[in-house]
Order: sequence, then structure tokens, then C-alpha cells
Amino acid sequence: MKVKRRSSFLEAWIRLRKNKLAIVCLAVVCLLILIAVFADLITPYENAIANNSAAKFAKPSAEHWFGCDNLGRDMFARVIHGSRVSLLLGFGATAVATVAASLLGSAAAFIGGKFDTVVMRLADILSSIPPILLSLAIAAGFGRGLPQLVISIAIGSLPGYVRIVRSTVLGISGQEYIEAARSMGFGTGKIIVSEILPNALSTILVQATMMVSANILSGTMLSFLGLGVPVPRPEWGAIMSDGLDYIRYASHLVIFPTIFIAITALSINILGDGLRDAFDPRLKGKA
Amino acid sequence: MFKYIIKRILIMIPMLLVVTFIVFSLISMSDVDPGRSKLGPEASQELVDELNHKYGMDQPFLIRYFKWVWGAIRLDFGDSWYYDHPVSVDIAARFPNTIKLTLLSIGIALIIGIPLGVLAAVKQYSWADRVFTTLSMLMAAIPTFCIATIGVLIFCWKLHWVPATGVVNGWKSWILPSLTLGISYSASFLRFTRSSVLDTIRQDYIRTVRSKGVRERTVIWGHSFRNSLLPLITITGMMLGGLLGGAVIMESVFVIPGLGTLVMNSINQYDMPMTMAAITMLAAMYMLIMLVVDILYAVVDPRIRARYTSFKKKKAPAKAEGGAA
Repeated sequence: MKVKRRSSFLEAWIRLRKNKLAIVCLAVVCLLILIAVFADLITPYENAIANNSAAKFAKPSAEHWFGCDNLGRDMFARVIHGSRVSLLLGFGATAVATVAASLLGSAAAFIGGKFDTVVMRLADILSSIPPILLSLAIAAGFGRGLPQLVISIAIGSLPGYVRIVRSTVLGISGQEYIEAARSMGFGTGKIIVSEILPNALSTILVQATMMVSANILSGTMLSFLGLGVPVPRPEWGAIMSDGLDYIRYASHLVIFPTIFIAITALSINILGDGLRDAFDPRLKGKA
Repeated sequence: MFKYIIKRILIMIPMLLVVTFIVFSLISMSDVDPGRSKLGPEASQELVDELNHKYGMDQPFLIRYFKWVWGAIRLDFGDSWYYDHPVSVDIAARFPNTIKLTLLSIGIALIIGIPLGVLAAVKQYSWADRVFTTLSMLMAAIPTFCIATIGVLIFCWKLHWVPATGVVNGWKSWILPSLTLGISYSASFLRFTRSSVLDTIRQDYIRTVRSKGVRERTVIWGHSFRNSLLPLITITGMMLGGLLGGAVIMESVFVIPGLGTLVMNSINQYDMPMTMAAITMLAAMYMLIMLVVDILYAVVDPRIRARYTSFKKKKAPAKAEGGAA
């Protein structure tokens, strides 16, 4: 079992390596993560929040690479430090949603019956509230902050995710090796964790990759609606929606955060496409 | 089929109950004192208590919820805590705007996305395919509120083609919001159409149809596209939630008085009756459109239609998700 599993991932990696665009995107994503982790070494957090009335709306220059915003805060520092919150929202919400969706989706498909019906109905119900409004309600109930944001974005993406995992697992649970595991006396929980989830992993991984960029974008939308992390902490969506007020005479306030958001979302999506092709070469060129 | 529709409409009732319960409890978890927040910090405690009593805030949570449900059943959603008039007034004024925006945008998304997606699939790897797929990926990577604001900048302020905000200018004021939302969602429709047409175009039956000498146009639209419609309908349904959310963004960029901004404002004003009524309407609208999507399934796919017509003879052979999965 173990040997086969490793080799299928190894094969996917070998195929992915041949996809130059996907590898470039992988490198970009890694670079962005490094920027977020080492933001303090690149430029001190002070620069991102310190007001400087002398530098209001300064154009990009050698001193302020990306210019300054309406309060004279250095845009470069804001964008660099903003990557922390944005990426944390994207990856954090995806991680929470992935764990929840994998467990719920596979349990629903594998146990079936009443449990399946209840889980799927709940997914239907959750998806009938637009995710943004659900986040609003969560923010109203639990207050505003980073953990609440992560949870609310994760819950918003959960229904579709659970459906995908469920349909994948439904395909897997008919396989012979599941029957074999059951005949060896494995319990339901053990079969789900040690047999079903590893085999559904490639689907889940591809889905999770795509979801990271969707969640980053959800985060920016929530910031735009005034539900983001409390000021003055920089976040890409907040920087952008602040800048939109001044777009007519200080377009650099919008351009730089937009470039960062677009590059992040684009490279994550292309990487996701590449991963899907690598795990399932039959799909190549289709999406 | 008729019986199935009735059943689906009946299922909506418990689903709406759960939705409203979730939202009601989420908002109730807030520690805001509604009487205090309305009367301000200087009001005397007696007045605040009196107002809270009027709002029913002195009663336990479950009783308040059931009272709300009892009112909602009789279509009495109560008075707004913020404006002190019946919430039905605002809902009735704003609901058509949200419906209009959503339907216009989804129509535009389909009209742009599907033909371009089919084109990209039929001419796979051509320049058109590359341009469209790249553009659609780019559209999906930029937040809609940014695209919308840039649209306002170009078409309202620079070119003066359309009004920037509001709904008072008749059909002209709908152009920009619905186009922005429609185009940004057409990107996903394009990608899904492309991949699902590519899926069918390589099937054996398409080769058979071709070898019969059928015109290429009929091969593409009559056979290949028709068979890729099913996953497309699923996606349309699934994207609706996102589209309704996108409508909230458009409503706030273009200052359109719709349900989305109503929910936003009333949550911020701790206006419980207004929030509940607006969310219930949005959820009911979503569920109704999903029902239409499921009926469309049966229209498009004869196999599913057959399953529903045999519904009467056999006892529940096909459930709702049997068709959707």
C-alpha cells in the first residue's frame, strides 16, 4: 500500500515538473509565502502603519518603491505586510475547510443512509445563504478579527467542497480494496482515515489549491465590505478598497495591491490546473 | 414530475426554518443591547428596558425565535427596529432590484461564456482559445469590486456613457453593474463550457455523427453541446450563491438599493426583524432558482425525466440529489 501510494505521488511530481508554466507558478507561490513569512526582514512593520503627512500620496520613488497612501504610509511596506494576512486567510481558511470537508464528505459517502442525507441537506441549507452574508452574520455574532474571518470564509466554501469530496469517495468506496479492508475487520473510522482519504487525496489536493485563491479573493471582498481585519493592520483587499477612493489621482494606490492579488490568484490557479493534469493525465488540456 | 415539484417546494419549508434559525442564533450571540444602541448612551435605563421589552429582548432566545417564525408564517415580519416601520415596505422596494441584477448578470454571463467556451473547445489550442482562456483566468484573479470601480472610472467619469450609481436612470443604470458582474462570472462559465465540451467532443458517438456526414454546426451544437449541458446546469446552480454574493458587492459599489446592502446595513444597525426578513427572502429566492435548475435537468436529460415519471409507480427511486449528483 505504502509503496504504491508514494509512487503515484512521485509520478505526478515527475509529470508536473515537465509543465514549465506550473513550475514557474509553484516558484511564485513559494516566493510569496517566503515574503509573507519574512516580511519583517524585508521592511519593518512600523513603516506599514506609521502615518507621515509629508509623504501623502507620494508617487513611487527610490525611497518609497510603491509610493505612499492617503495617510502617507509606505505602500511597499503595506503590500508586503498585507501578504501576511491575505495569505493566512487564503491558506488558513482552506486548511480548516479541507479538514472539515474531508471528514464530513467521506463519512457521508461511506456511512451513507440517514447521516448522508443530513450532511447533504445541511450543505444545501448552508449554500442557500450567500457566503458573504453568512460571513456578515458570523461577524455580527462573534465579533471581528482574524480567527472569525478564517472560520467564516471556511464555512462559506464548505458546502461545495463537501459535495466534491463526497462524490469522489462514493467512487472509491465501491472499489475492491475497501471491501478487502472491511473483510480484514477494519472499523469505519480506520477505513476512512487509512484507505479512503489517501486515495481521495489527489482530488482533495487539487480542489484545495484552487480554493486558496478563491478564499484570498473572498477575504478581499469582505475587507471591501468593511468586515476585514481591524485597521490599521494591512491586508490586500483593505489596501485596495482604501485606494479605490483615490483612484482618479493616485492610481498607484490600487495598481500595486491589485498586481499582487492577481499574481497570487493566477499562479495558484495555474498551479492547480497543472496539479490536476499531473494527477490525471487523461484530463490534460481540457480545463 | 408535478408531484416532485410539490415535494421540493415542501422541503423548502424545513430548510428555510434551519437557515433562519442559524442566522437568528448567530445574530443573537452578539452582546449588543438593541434598546441601548437605539436610544444612545444617555438614555435612562428605564426607557432602554421598556424598548427592549417592546422588542421582546427580555424573553429567552427560543421564545423570541418561535415568535418570529409565527409572525413569518403569517407573512408578518414585524417592524424595523431602526426605522420603526414595517420591514415589508423595504423588502418590497428592494427585492425587485436584487432579482433584476442577479438575473441580468447571470443572463449576460451565460450569453458571453457559453458561445466563447464552445468556440475555445472546438478550436482548441488556436489563438482564440489561448486569448479567451488567458483572459478568463485573469478575470477570475481580480476582485470584482476592483473591476467594477475601474469600469465606473472609464465609462462614467471619462466617457460619460452611463450613470455611475443608483437606479433612477432607468435601464441605463443597470448596464454597468450587470455587465461587470456578468462578465466576471462569464469567465467561469467559459472555462466550464470549454472543459465539458472537450469532454464530449472526443466521444465515439460524435465520431459516428460526423461519419454520417452531419453538418459540423449540428455536430457541435446539436450533439456535443447538448450532451455537455448537464454539467453546465449544475455549475450554474452552484455559482448562484456566489453570484448573489457578487450582487451584494455590486449593490454597494453602484449604490443600488437591493437586499444585499439591506442585510449589510441592518446587521450593522442590529436591526433584527429587517435582517431576518431580508435573509429569508434571499434564501427563498436561491432555493426557488435551484428548483428551476433541477427541473431544467429533467428537460435537458431524458434519462432523468424518465426517472421522475416512473416516480409514481416505484416508491421514491430517485431523490433530489440523485439527479444532481
